[in-house]
Amino acid sequence: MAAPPVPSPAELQALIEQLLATRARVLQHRPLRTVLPSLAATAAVFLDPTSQARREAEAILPAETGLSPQMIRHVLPLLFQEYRAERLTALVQEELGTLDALDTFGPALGSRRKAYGPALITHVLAGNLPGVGLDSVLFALLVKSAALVKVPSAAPSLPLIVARTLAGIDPDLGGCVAVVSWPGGHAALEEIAFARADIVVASGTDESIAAIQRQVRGRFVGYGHKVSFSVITKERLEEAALLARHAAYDVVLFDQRGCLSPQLMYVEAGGSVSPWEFAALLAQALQYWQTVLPRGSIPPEASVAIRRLRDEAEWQALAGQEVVLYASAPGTEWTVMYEADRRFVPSPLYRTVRVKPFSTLAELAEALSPWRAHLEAAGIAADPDRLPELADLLGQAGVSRIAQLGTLQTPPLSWRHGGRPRLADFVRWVTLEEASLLPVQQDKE
Amino acid sequence: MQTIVSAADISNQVLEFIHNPAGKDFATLALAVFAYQFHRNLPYQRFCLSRGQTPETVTRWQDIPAVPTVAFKELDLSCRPPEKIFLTSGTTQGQQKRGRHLIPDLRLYHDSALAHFTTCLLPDACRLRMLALIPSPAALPTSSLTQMADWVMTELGEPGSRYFIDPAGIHLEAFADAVADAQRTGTAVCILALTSALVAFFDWCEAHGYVFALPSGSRIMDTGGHKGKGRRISRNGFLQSCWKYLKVAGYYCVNEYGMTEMASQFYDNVLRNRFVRSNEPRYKIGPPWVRTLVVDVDTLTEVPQGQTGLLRHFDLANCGSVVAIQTDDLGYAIGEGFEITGRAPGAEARGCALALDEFLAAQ
Repeated sequence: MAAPPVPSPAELQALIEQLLATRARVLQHRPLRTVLPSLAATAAVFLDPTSQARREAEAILPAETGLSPQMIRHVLPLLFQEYRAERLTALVQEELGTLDALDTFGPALGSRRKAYGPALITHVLAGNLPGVGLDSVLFALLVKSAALVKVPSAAPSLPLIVARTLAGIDPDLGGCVAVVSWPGGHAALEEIAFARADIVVASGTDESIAAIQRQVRGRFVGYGHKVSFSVITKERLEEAALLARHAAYDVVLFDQRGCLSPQLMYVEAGGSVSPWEFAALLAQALQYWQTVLPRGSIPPEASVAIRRLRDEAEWQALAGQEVVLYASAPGTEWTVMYEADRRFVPSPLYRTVRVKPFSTLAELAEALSPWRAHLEAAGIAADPDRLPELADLLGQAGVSRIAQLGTLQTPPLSWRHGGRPRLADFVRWVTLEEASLLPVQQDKE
Repeated sequence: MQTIVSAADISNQVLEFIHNPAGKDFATLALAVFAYQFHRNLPYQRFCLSRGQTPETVTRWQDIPAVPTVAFKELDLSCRPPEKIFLTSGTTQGQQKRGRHLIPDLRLYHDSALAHFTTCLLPDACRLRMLALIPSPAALPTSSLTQMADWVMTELGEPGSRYFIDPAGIHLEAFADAVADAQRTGTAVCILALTSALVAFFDWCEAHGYVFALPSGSRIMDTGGHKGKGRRISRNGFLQSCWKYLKVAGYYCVNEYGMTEMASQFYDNVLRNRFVRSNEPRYKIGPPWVRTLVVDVDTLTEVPQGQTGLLRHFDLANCGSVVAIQTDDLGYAIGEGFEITGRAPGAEARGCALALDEFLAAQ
């Protein structure tokens, strides 16, 4: 599917005016209860394997994303399953207090309060992983904002299909979303798109996000480069083979390219299976998943980086260091490198994992500390008695999500990506003080 | 069962190949060198055995197990005690381990380097004054490039040959004076330069409004590309600058590609082509005692001719260490050689441009 043609600055201005006018006309005053079903119905289309939109996405996305057709079929339902009406309702209730917080002045402490979403949120979707940034677009509609969605020219299809599906189900709501594309760094267009927005939400590399942030006049929400990892405590190693299967699943989904993909696994020493034996089990599990959800295409530089990692591991082992390498052959489909060195080192991705041992939680905390600003999520399998201590350690270490092993890639809608509320971060509250509802009192003489 | 030859025997066989390559059988000698290394270089033997490969199972030179360049950082890969050790350039922070290439018999390196330099830079059997924008041995004693340049300077250079990068730094003004002197006296010269150093000279010329015209027959060998810091320039831009500032035509500009882990080097074929009247396009050629395969970046299997992949070199002059080297350099086979399309992103910067940065940063 081709990206939309690059607009002229005047066309982009006109498009934004049109979005704002449509939003003022059909969304700004519309009860949220009537918005939710349309969003849920749109998501439901992608949960239906027979729908035309789903089939179209399945046909187009492998080439556009580099993920295998099996992977696309597997992850599409995962991407949309959270957007059911009851989940969306629960999200609004949790973050804004009530479902009609955006509709009326509701009771608050000694006063009444109403939330207002901004008129326009510009979303910059980066990279070609399917689904990245779509949540922000749906959240924008939930707070009654128009959404200008900038997609990468090489990977425009899923946002386009979602927008088209929404417009088919609810033309009013669809009129509040515009999908656009232009080469990154296009100064004239970016100035318009970023300066006109009340909020700009962007995902991408730290550099591209910093470049966008400089141009934003309103608020900015950036999702930069993040890494995730997994932790397994020794008590749980009784079920090591099963855990390895779950841990490998987290690695395999999206070919390990997501910010929620675990790049390392810290395995506690002293369990019924040693950390390096766990590495062997993980390798078996990755081989299993390769037959079910084969890896997609991989850029040459990533192949070279994986080769380099393998070469280093192999020669370090030959040099007598405590390093064990498990690797697919002849290609780079999966790689597990066990190393006694505990230092946190990111992986070249595309299903390449380092397994590292730890003996005490203090050692784990020490290994994580240099990466504080970059940690996203931790997948864990931990003894229930030690869970509170481990969870607190991970929270202190900087993660915003702690999940069961095997569920890292399927965050619930309630996850506060980046450690901040999502909807609540978009709205502005207006307090109506109770006194103003009473007749003005006579001045006391 | 192959007979195991002695170190002296195998070195002499390779030297004989280098001195008189006509009619020699690369495949047979490559397999003999491999068998020798398998038995004498124990880390390499463990590496081969971990792949189930031995001199008994390897029957084609193409199948000799290739050692990745990162291996030189982890282990000393030598068949005998070294006569000399060359180091890859490290970073100023010293965060990365430096690779070590141990050379048991320096004659192989010497003879290989000079023979192919002569073929590619001096096909007209000219004797030239050498002007080197390459660190002198005193400035960078562990560099293999410096060693090679020093042999070229002392054995092939005419009187007046000199270095313009020494322990005190880079001397662009003195270099300009030497160029001006060559121009005034009509003396053809051969410039040996780090690409980045010559680019710095071009920038200096631009800033001072200088343009030189070297006498005909003058030539330039540049090496190192732009692995380090400094201004980046395309190959065409570089060649245009050689013409603009020095009046040296593109077919007298020969880019060298080499690495610490290899005793032999590759050069652009352009100058040789001119003297053998060949219409071949510009690409890199190695000497007859080196073969290069292009392998798939993901599977490391040979790719069809013309397809881009990683370069894997088989260098008989590496007789004292390992004959087969797997690089991170991307390229494709063309004619009798290959062209480099780049270093794989993600691979660390390596080579002499970085060495120059490091050296100048230490000043």
